[in-house]
Amino acid sequence: MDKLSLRRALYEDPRSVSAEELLDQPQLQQLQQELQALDDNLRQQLAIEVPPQLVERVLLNQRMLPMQKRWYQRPLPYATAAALLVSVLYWQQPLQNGPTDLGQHALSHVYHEMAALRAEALLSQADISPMFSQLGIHAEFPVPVRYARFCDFDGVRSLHLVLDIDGAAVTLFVVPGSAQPGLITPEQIEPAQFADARFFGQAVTKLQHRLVLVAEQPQLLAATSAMLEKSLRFNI
Amino acid sequence: MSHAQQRYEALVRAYTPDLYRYAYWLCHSKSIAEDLVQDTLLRAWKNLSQLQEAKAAKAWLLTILRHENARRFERKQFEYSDVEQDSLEDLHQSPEQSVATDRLHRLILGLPQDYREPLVMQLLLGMTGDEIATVLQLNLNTVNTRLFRGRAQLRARLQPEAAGVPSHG
Repeated sequence: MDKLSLRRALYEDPRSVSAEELLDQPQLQQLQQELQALDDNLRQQLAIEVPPQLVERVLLNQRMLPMQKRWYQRPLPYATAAALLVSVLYWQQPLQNGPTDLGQHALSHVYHEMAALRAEALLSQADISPMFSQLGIHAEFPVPVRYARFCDFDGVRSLHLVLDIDGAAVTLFVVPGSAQPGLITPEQIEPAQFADARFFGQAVTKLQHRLVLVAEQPQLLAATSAMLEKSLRFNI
Repeated sequence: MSHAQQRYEALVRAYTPDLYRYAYWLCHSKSIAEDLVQDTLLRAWKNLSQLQEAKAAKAWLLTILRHENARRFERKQFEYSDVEQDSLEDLHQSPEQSVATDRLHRLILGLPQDYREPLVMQLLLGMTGDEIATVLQLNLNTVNTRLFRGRAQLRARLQPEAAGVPSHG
């Protein structure tokens, strides 16, 4: 190989050229050493830290996948259960006040992703902030966040979180209204409550967003709502 | 646990770190990189039957990830305002080390993607020129030219007083 070819081969991969090939080429030997040192530095720099629990979050989402199908795509027992749930919610109308569609969807979503309520990963501020910033929100939670993921919430790409409030799991959906004109109607501006046999929920509107909370104990909703007032700053 | 589930879990555990790092250097954002990894591996699950040989897994997953990244641009759903903050995170280093590594980090990010991608595949993922050519759907000569130019640019920028970027390539 001539000098030019060796030089090119070194830049393509410094390890691909043997010491014998560079025996009488001190300049190229030095170039090889420099490029190998550069590669070592690059390898260190490229190997950025991987978020803890990423593998577990991937597997959790995969296990939840079959449950994310539409009810009419499921076997008969699931469709029957879905119909029963809708009936129960219908007969509980007096408990509800406001956007029943939103409440029903929130409850269905929680039931479909029950594994999220059992998530134990503790996400850092660095994990959470970029997700909120995509929605034009600055968030700084004083409580642990166990789960955070963008989900399809009734056709709107929304943020689904599970917060740890005094050891109990509270689900928070942040639904950007600006992503779907008409999602937030004038009657939805007022806070709304909903419930079923197991969960209690409430929805409030903040500028362009709907914040939907779901918890097993109603007192957790008030505590979480007060905490969110101080933790979230809405830019849009 | 089904055989498919076992196979999938092995795949996820083996390749998630490499996929995440590759995705980060592709899109410059840690949060988008995580979304890309999630989307890639969910698509891999849906199409697991297409993967016939274990040795083809890395190239197969990288191909899916690159497609998912292309779909991201089609959807235009993401914002890039957090790129700078993401790319400058560095932990547990002395100020001197931090300055040096920040500079290298910026230089890698500053490389044209055509040069950065094969370098990441070669150095981070340990792929050969032929494997890189397969994933990028290029011929081997083009891959080698991009590796040459990528290294040459980085070396020149780290040593501005040196001879500069070789003109051959």
